[in-house]
Amino acid sequence: MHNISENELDFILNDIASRGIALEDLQENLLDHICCIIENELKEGENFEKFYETVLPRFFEKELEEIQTETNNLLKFKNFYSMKKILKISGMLSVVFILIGILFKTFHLPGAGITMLLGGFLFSFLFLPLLIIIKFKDDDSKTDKAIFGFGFLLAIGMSVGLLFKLMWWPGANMLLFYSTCIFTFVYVPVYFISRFKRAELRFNTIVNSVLMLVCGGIFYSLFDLSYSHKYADKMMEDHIYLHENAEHLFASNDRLFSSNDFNADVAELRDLSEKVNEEIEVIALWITENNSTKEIGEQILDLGEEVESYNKMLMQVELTEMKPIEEGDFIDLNRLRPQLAMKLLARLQQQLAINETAYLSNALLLANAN
Amino acid sequence: MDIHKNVMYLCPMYSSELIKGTLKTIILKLLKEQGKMYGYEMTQKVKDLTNGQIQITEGALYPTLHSLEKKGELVTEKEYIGKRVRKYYSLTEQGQLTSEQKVNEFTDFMNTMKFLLDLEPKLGNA
Repeated sequence: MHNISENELDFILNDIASRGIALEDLQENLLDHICCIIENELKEGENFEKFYETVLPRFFEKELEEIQTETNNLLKFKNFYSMKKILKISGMLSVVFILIGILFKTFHLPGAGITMLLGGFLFSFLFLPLLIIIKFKDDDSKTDKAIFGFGFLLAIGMSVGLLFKLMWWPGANMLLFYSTCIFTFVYVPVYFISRFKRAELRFNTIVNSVLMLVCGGIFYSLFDLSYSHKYADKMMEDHIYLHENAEHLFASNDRLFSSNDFNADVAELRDLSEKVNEEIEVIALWITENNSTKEIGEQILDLGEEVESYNKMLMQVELTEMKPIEEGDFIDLNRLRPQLAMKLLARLQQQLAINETAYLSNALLLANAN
Repeated sequence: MDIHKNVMYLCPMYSSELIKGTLKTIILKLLKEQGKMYGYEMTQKVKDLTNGQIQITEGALYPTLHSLEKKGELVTEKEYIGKRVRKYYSLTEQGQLTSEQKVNEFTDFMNTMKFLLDLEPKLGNA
């Protein structure tokens, strides 16, 4: 029986390390195993190195590293299985939670929101990410990995968007809209083109693409894109309402003013008020004619000047019912949409009219008291 | 991925197809009977027991040992022989159970195969 010397031991260890065995556990095992073989089978007088060369091929087919690859595969496989298990459980749980949530919601029972939220979270943050990881480990083709990874990410975006919408959290519409758009108009075509060429996948690719496109399209059609139009109409309505009210007040103020004797202060305020109103009308006319708020910077400055002297007068009067016109209310008009700008202008007019009414009534009260 | 498709685990007598899936069972059963063993000892023991008809190759043995250890079926104990380390494997409690299950499963399988291939004609059929 041959006794392995320290030099020989180092030689073997170096050799297996240089052949790509890096796992320490495996190195130790192989070293001991090879030593055992040599100790038991090397005959007296036989050359150690030569014998070693004949022993080593027993361990592999092409190269020694196969053992390590195999070990790694088996070890990974274990994680793989547990991951698949978690995938199954999380998938099942999210389905159960969502179904229970739906049931609760239908019967108006408490806890529907939180149950659905839990299901949604499990689905978006455990089930789908695991699906991506498993796909990455399972699939050999890099294109497939990238495409499925991308697709599942978009799916996460959509489900998180739905979750946000359910909970009335901000950003829900944006998340949903962009995920759906990218999914329908970018992902599905990419998916189709990348897989259509492969004959063995063609049928499935066509079916899946049609399904995804139809689903994405239906989802897309549910978005209320006409929102801004409705918004503009509402603004317009408000504007007309405010404007008419202001006009009525102005008219009644006129009658009040002409049927009574007021002092010079009242006439001055009415004068200032009218000047502000005129500027407002100039801006409003420009906006209506051009259907745009651009290039009204100069008119805004003019309005600002008039408002300044108007506010000065108001400060002198010191009547609590009268509210000064604030610069912040009109200084940014040129950055707003026409409908909104018109509404704001109408509000200013109403404010002017109310101030005037308050001042007139106050003056009348004072006159009567005297 | 499947190690059993690997030709490394080919013995001179039987085809790898035939022995597919038995390596784990062999290791677990061996350890149940022998207590603790190291890798080389296992290969020699199997060779002796089967008169060389089944030879476990190192290329399949060590990956399987490592994966069984990770799954918690086996534990290791290190023994230093000079500078080198020898790892003795033994069954955990879970390993004992798995060993029994695997052997039972395989026995069952063999009986079914016997019946299926009509290797043991039943008396009633005569």
